[in-house]
Amino acid sequence: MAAQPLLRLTNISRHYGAIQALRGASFEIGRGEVMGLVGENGAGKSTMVKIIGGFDHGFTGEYFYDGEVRHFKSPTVAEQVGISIAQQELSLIPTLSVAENIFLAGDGVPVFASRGYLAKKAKPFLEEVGLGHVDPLRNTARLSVGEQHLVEVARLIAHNPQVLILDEPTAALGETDSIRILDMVNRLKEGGKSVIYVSHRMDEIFKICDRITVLRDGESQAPRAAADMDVNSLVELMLGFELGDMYPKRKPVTRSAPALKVRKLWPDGILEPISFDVYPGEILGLAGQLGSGTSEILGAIAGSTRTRGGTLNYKGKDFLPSRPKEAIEHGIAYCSEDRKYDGLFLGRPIMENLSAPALETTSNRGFLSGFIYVSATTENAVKFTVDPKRVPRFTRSCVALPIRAPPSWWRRQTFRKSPTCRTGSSVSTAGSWLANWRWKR
Amino acid sequence: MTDATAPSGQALNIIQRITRDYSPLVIAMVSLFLIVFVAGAVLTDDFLTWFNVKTIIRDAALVGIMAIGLTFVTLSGNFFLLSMKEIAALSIICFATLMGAEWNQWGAPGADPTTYSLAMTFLVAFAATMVIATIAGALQGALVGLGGNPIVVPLGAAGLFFGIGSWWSDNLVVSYRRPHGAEWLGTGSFIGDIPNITVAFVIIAIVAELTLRYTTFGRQVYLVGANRAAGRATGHENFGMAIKCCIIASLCAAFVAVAFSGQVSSAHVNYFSSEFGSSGDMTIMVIAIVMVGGNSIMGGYGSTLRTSLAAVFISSIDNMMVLNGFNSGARVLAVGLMIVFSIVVFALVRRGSRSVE
Repeated sequence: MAAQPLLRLTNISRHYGAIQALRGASFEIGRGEVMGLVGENGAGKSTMVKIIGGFDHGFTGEYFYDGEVRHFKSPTVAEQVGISIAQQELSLIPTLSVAENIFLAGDGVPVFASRGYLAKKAKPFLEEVGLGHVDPLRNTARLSVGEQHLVEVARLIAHNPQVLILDEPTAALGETDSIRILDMVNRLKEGGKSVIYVSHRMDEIFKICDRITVLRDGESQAPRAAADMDVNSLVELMLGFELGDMYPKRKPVTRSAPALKVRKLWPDGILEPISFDVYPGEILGLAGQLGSGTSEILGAIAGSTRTRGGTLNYKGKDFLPSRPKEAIEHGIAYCSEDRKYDGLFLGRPIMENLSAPALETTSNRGFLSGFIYVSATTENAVKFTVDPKRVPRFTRSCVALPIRAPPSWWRRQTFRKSPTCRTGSSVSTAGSWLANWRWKR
Repeated sequence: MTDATAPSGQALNIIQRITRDYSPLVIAMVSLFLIVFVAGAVLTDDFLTWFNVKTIIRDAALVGIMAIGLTFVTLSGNFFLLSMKEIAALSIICFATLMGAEWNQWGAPGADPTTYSLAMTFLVAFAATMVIATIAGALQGALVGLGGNPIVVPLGAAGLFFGIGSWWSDNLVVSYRRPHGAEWLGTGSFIGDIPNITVAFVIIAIVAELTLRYTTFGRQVYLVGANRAAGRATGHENFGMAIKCCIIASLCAAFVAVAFSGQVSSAHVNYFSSEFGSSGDMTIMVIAIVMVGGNSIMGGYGSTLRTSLAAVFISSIDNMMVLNGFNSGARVLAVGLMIVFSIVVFALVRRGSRSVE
């Protein structure tokens, strides 16, 4: 029975309306194993994770946990059995202390517990996730985003789960915080826990996973040992065809006349003004941890962050956008960091999302022009790898899944401004792009 | 790939599209409302007579026009303009005062009024009322757009407008002599025996719906309502939208005030607080219609078409209850139940869609 996996799902199918999210996919994980779950956007990773965690019970197929057939009706039941899931988005209460957040569910502690008692009880869990230095009575909002993610995991560990699902824990984190998460996964593994690790970061996958399960178009590939694979073979499995190279060869950039000149730009939140040039055909990277000011610089260029001064020069015009509207008018496309906050109009049709910054271009004297509107948005959707089939539908959570925009596209842009890159962002960037794009009649 | 298997958007019939786009709860609620409506219509004598249908739509028209205006504010994410009733009160005082003003009587003194003199008196009073309503709307819109609380600002403004109206009229009934130019709007009819106010309601409903669907302004209303931060990032700021939407709502309120004044040839600041609709209070009635129409309180989702249908629906239920001899208390109760019911249903739908995310 040693070979018996702890958790085994076979022949899992799940469809949402006309969309077949999973078709006969299988998944397994053994005790004390770190299993990577990877796949392209829309491959069914999130659906699989939801099914495992009990959030989605409308599937068909077999679910075995510890040799028994299971069909969880709710995440609470799954949690009682020992399966916990750390969602991509934080579910902490920022005004409560760290310790209070850890025991939010209220089990394992007396009904009336003093803050000191909670702090004492929370300490070991914090140490386990590498937050030994954090005072459990500290306000959660005062922690960094990475630390908050770790607190969330600590809360899950407090329930002593056997299987822990981490859904893109490092997506929004800087390097230091990511390393903390990886250390924690290793410690959990040593403690005999099983971890399902969903990520888009190839280096992390290879660093910590024992085996990797690849999902593609709702079908699963047999899990393979991470040691037998490299980045190229993994990407090939994800895509289903040979990519040649993960990143296309860089074209040499002739740095003669800059496309964008940034002069003494001084956004609020950074210590001194910054100047740089971006040349046509160039991708300029701005490196820095969360809070280092890179977002502020991009925000200032896009007009969404307050600035103390400076000028931009694009297409021969000097300007300093004080509002995003001005930046858009000057031809700057901005893809925001937090797509849910200011990147997307969730619940409005994708078509409207795509054309939101481009109402001027897709209308005629204040009236939306159906023809220009549909053709322009569809064409741009395809360019940004948004599935045109989804375009007339509503933007629901399925579209907010992460994706890598194809490198071929980025080469078209003069410059790109985005700390993270996701489908949602693709939708919002596609819109900004469209704002300065004329329909060729 | 999935291209071959997935049915395309066009191939779906209407039932499939409804089940795809709407939650079962919403479908159940609308069906229940329809069943109540049909059952009531069949069981109530005299309900389905031409005269009664006209009455229903005429009753729906006044609150309906106001609700359509308010829908713009709600859709743009600026909650409810809680001062609708007071804007109407100020407008009706302004209108009636100007209708009766000595300097605003056109035509020869002492002579019988001609069509020209009646029309001029009406137009001057009407234009002035609309200007005042525009200022009232713009003032609130600007304050809300600058970051003022969308509940407190209109409540404060409500006191201001009511106070001005009350002071101006010395809290008395302002009346003016018939015949006057507002009769045409209030009680006249130029298409058969359909009241003009009903025609105005239908036209406003159609124009509002088309504006929301097919103009950039309408699209901006939805986008700013759906996500204010993303709206700003894509170049649509709430400041302008709040002002425009509040002006639209104010103009609708003022239009209703003029039409109502035309019906009774007089004005009093309390007309919209006590003697209006089944629940008596105009603001509550109008909010009820917007809510029962299923417009999202947070903005971004809904339409003026739904608002118009809700106005007709509430008016029909009210009418049925009158015909069946219920007193006003029971009618207020019915409206209240409908609001609570739709709030609960939409809250459940909202929660359901969140847990999926």
